[in-house]
Amino acid sequence: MKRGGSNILLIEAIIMTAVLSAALSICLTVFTSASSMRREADELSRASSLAFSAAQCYVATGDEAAVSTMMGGDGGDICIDGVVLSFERDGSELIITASKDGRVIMTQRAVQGVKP
Amino acid sequence: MNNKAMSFFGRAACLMLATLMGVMLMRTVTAGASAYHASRRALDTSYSSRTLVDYATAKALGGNERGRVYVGDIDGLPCLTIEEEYEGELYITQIYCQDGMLKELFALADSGMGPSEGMDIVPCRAFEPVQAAPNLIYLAFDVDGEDSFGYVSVIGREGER
Repeated sequence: MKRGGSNILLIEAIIMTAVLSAALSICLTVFTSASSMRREADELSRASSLAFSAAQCYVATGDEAAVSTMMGGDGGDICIDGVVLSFERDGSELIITASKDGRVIMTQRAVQGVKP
Repeated sequence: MNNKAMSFFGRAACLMLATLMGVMLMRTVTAGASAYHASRRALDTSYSSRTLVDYATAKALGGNERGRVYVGDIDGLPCLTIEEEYEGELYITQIYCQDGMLKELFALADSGMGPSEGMDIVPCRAFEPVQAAPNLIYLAFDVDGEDSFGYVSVIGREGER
């Protein structure tokens, strides 16, 4: 009788551990996913802000090299807090591409004298 | 193996499993707390720095008429100045940083009001607007040691553009 009780307790503990493990693994997945989403949202916000500033510089100056210099670069592509801003001329327009680790986050177009 | 020994091993296994459950629970609670803390801290900083830049930019673009948005000062504090005219009266909006707060003072041009009478907007350690070009203003902020900046294109005075 005593041995039977001990076995039941052990089986119950095993089942409880398995259930808890499943619940905790779901929780950890959610935490990781939340952390990743926060990082992506932060990157998008940062990229949007930087691209808008670069566009404002181009609106005011009309010179992509000046835009790069004003944003802290040396006349070419610039990297700020891990976000890379690259510039491409399309006629009178400047296409500003914000990317991170080779992944394009957003693009912004600017024309001199015209608000973005 | 007798019944007594089996009972001992059974209890020991139960105790180990209970300990394992406790450790896993603590690990998950700690991971959750640190994820929440990191998210909150990042959101706070992001909110403050982006809000500061967006607020000043929106204000400047909102009042963007020829020569009406420029860098000025209020009692020696650098400020972003926006002039607006209502019913023939000239009003001035000044955005500046004082006592760890970004403040805004909206008053008649000759009201004689000082910087301490401005309205608190967002906590900010430092704010420095700089005329980067005749029609471009550079806005630099310091929020809890983290720098943020933005540019705003304004319509310059006659002959500047």
